[in-house]
Amino acid sequence: MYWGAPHGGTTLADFTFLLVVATAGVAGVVLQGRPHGVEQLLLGGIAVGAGWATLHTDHLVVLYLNLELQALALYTLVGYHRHHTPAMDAALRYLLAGSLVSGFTLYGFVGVYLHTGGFTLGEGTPPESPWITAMVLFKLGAFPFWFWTPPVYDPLDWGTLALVVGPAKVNLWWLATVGLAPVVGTTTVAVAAVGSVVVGAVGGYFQVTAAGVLAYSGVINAGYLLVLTWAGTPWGVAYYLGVYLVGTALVVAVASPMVATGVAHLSGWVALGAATPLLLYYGVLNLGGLPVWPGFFGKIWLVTWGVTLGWGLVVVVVAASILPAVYYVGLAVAALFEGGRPGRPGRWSPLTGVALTLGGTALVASVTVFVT
Amino acid sequence: MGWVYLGVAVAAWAGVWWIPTGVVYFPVGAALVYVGIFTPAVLGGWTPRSAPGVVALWLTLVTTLLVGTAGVTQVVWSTTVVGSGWVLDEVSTPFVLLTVGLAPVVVLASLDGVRGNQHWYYGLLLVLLGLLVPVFCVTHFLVFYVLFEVLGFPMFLLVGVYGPRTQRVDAAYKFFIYTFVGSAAVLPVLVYLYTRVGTTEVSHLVRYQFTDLEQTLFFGLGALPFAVKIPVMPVHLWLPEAHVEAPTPVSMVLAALLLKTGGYAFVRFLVPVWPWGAYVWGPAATTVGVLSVLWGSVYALVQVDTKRMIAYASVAHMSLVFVGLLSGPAATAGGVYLMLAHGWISAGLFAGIGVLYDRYHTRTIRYLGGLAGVMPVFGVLFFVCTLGNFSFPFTAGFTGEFLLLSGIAQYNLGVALAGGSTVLLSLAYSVWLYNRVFYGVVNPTVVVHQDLTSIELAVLGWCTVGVILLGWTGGYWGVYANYDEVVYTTLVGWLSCLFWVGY
Repeated sequence: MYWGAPHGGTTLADFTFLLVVATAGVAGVVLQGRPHGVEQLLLGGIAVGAGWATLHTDHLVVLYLNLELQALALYTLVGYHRHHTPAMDAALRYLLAGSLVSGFTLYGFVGVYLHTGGFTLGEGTPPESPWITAMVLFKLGAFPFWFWTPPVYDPLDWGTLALVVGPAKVNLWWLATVGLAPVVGTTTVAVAAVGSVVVGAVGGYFQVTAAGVLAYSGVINAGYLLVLTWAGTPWGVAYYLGVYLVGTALVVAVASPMVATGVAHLSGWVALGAATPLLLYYGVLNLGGLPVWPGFFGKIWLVTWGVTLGWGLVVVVVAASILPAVYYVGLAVAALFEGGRPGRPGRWSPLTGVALTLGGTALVASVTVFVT
Repeated sequence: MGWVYLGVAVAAWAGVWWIPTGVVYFPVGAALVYVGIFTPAVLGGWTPRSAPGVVALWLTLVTTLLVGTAGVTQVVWSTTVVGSGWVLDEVSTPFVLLTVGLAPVVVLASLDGVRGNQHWYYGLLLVLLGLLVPVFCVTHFLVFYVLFEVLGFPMFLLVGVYGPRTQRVDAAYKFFIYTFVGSAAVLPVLVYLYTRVGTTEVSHLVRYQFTDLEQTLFFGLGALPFAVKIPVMPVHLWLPEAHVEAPTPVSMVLAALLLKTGGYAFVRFLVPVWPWGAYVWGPAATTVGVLSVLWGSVYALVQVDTKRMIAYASVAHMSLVFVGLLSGPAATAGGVYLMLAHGWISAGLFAGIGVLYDRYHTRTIRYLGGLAGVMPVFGVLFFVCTLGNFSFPFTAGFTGEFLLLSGIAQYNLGVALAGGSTVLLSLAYSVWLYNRVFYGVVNPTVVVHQDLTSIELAVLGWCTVGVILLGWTGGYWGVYANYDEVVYTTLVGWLSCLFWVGY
């Protein structure tokens, strides 16, 4: 597997590569000093493995089973700390909503089978399925099914949060863009794209916890990715997804050694300003799509490909990107400016070094891709 | 270190170190060298005291000589240094020379002012100063946009971390939001240029046949971020806050250099590429500019904080420049000259206000008074900068405003008269400020009777020399239309700094 569908590779290889890298990043976060037992690693492995299987199958039954397996593993992971009431509440919400969506999935796949007479994707020309579309949008946390992400993300520990926003989404984007693309409604995707961008921009502004900010960051980036899906550019989705995963992983990697859990109030990020100020600043600016970081090149490509859908959409997307940049910088303000000035030198944990390497590599890759 | 510096200076003047296009990379390279030296050491537990500032000063002096030599050589030989995407011509050279001329001044002003976390401060400052040189040399609009945005990141940290008061956080936030919101407007334009035109390089864009609608739309969208940076009313509100809350050296960089990037964008990209757009937007933009001139001047008149007064004075002067950049080539040349003049004048004024704050921990005018008797040298140097601020003849401000207003008058006499009212208003607030601070009975709060230290003398002296010589020889420039003297005047300023530093 290697990176670069436009240079002779395949989009599937790109998504597979993303899954591997994202999983490695999550493993680093989980193992960096606060392991919660073998079960957590096992459940995470099951979720990633099931995701991998969905990437490499075109059989509806196998696809359904692996999607459900992944979802079950994630439900359990979310409710792993069963003595923590917010975690149990989040897991129950996730389970109930996910179960409903599981019914949508089954109903949609049955509809495809009835229309085509087979269980293999690519057979015949099945019509667009609102049920499958709803399932995809729910699992991606996009409009109008974003409501579960903030309450579910809030009580998570960093490792689980990194898994849920990272590797657990890679296979879903593959399905939305390529695997299930023939049955995912284009108009619905378009509406979901615009709605996600607007909701993510506005909703994130009012968050006061890091997990809340990352949840709405996921919503708005889901909107950007849906724009690319709508434009019919699978490699563009893979590229932007890589940029988003690197950006989120960088912030998680920098924050996790210093801040106890994702539910920590932003005021608790003062410690980050003292420890790794510039690395956090880099991660925040990257998420905001500011030059010269990979997020900026991702936004350039987003606008470039989005132009094919009309300049009105481009204006909406660009305008909606302003507000998230403001609250991303709010993370930097909370970490760097509040509570006095940084007073001690930075501390470089191995994970921080990995994050720096990842970010630097992503930057070089982005510039190279852009120039060539 | 002195012998090393002397050796570099001799080699530079001998032409050995003249690097045609590498000069644009050298300042950034020097900044990265600084970061590379100090970051591992600090992470290893070393807590430096004065070493970061001294090293930063020597780096900027070397940069001044090397980059300045290339610039002077270009001027003397009338060549245009062109590299891959870079140019050092009659448009960019003055700004590059202003940047490298002021860089040592800013670092010098930081030596006494910044105490904590010096290594991060000087690293950010050097990166900021180092990036300013390529900003004024790049010919790709997209690269210019990227560099223009990136300039805001170290400035954001410098204001938000090193400002003396708690309000610094809001000021940094406001600076970021205004800059970023304005910049978002030009992103679709860049994508259009990249996808439809195929390039963002200015020499190709100038030859491309844009439709009238495209010219109008793109000029309007493109003007927004640079109008914010200049700044022009009503998007000027970030500047007074940023100036007041920033440390003195950062205010000097902000006023003298950062604001010029906005004006430079009009000269290099917007007006040459979309002249029809400039023509269509001209009346509205000129009206906004004139109103901004009057607004800034009147607001300066009612201020009680010295730093905020000079900040609004900057709004007024740069708004006049904005009007000039839209008023034809003669006014544009005057606008460029006024930008150079404003660079030295505002740097000197902010440095002087920094001296007052360091002594008396206040910038409020009512708590100051009678300083001319206790700080005579400071009074003289600040007076020269004040003369420049209200465009007294033979100061840089006079030459710049004369050329600018005469150029605007060729375009529209009414606009020139309206914009020229700033001369009277600037006279009013400048003289009022100087009178209240330096004359009269010594205020009881003035308990420290100490004139300038050697470093303060070097900083203010350097700026004052620039103000005077840029004004004296500017007369020749105006008469003979030869801008070589612009370079020579700044050059003398550098030589004077050698004397003061050595002293």
